[in-house]
Amino acid sequence: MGMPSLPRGRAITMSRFDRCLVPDAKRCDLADLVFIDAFGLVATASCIVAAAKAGGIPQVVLPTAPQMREHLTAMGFMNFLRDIGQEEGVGAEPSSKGDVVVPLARVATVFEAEQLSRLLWANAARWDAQVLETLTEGLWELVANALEHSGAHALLMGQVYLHGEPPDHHQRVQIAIGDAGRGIRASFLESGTQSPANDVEAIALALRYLVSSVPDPGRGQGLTTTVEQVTALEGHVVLRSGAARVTVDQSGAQAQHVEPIGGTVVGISLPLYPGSS
Amino acid sequence: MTARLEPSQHSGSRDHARELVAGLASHMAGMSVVLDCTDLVVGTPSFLDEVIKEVLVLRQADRLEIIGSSARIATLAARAAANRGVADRLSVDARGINGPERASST
Repeated sequence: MGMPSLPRGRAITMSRFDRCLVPDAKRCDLADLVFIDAFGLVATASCIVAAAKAGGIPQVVLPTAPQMREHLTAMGFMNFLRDIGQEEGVGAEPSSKGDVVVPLARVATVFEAEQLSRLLWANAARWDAQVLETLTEGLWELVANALEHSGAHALLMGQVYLHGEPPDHHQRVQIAIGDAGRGIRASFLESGTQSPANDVEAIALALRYLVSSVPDPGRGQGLTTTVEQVTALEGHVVLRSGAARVTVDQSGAQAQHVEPIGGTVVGISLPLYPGSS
Repeated sequence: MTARLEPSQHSGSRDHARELVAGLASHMAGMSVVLDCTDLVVGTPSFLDEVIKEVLVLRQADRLEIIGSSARIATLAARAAANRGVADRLSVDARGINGPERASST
């Protein structure tokens, strides 16, 4: 088996991530990067951790543009690199946090999610109340899923986009939770509760209410309820696990078979003020 | 006898729920539990499901009464109780402290 895929590109975002993946890459080349969103950052970090697990920490080539390096620092990426032993991770403090509401964080226990939940709440005093409630619920549920089912640590980040391009970066907020674990399909298969034939089928099962790899009648609510809340507020959810990508919005779910990654990444994109456009 | 639980402001996980009920007796038949959500800012489906499982299913308390909750918490609790077949032993008084008197856990 070759090295896992790693992203490369000028814009690594929720909608473009899969077009940026380079199979069997030996390094994560971000030299040309000019924009990355919360989903792109968490997915990139998850891919780096997956590559490290497979064959050693890959070289990360940082952006040449100083503003982009500063932005990555504000997003928490430099701290992440330092934590995994990359010297490039040592950088100057950013002059602004750039609408980052939760910098990239590595979460080892669900109790650590409480601090991030409080941080999100503290940074979002002016948001629509339902948006904040939905994001915070989603944060908890998705972190818990990652920790319980992946067998790995979770990575999380949140950012607001006031003046960017639609659909994800204009008057919207995004949070993303990822891991470099076994993936949704393996979680089902190893539990013996479900036998999805592929990663698309595994995500479809995970999206069904009260379907879980844990044999308990109340389990399997968190992801479904989060998706239900997000889509009701005109938002969408992207689920990326193994070789599958599923996007869910008010019109339903769209599935694609894509380049495989190690682990799972879930991103939530919500308008800051639903119904105002 | 009634035991009273007061979750922290941000209570989102099943682990938080298990920690919250850890001081309760393991068998609660004949007893009631009040979950005071007045200060709860963030709750989740998983947190509420686990509280209901621990109190009504595993410990078999006669009744779980939720007071001071948001409409959202009330909806999630009712849904979780229905999923576990214990809806008849749950009562929810959303955003009103009209339940039992404040009393310490027994």
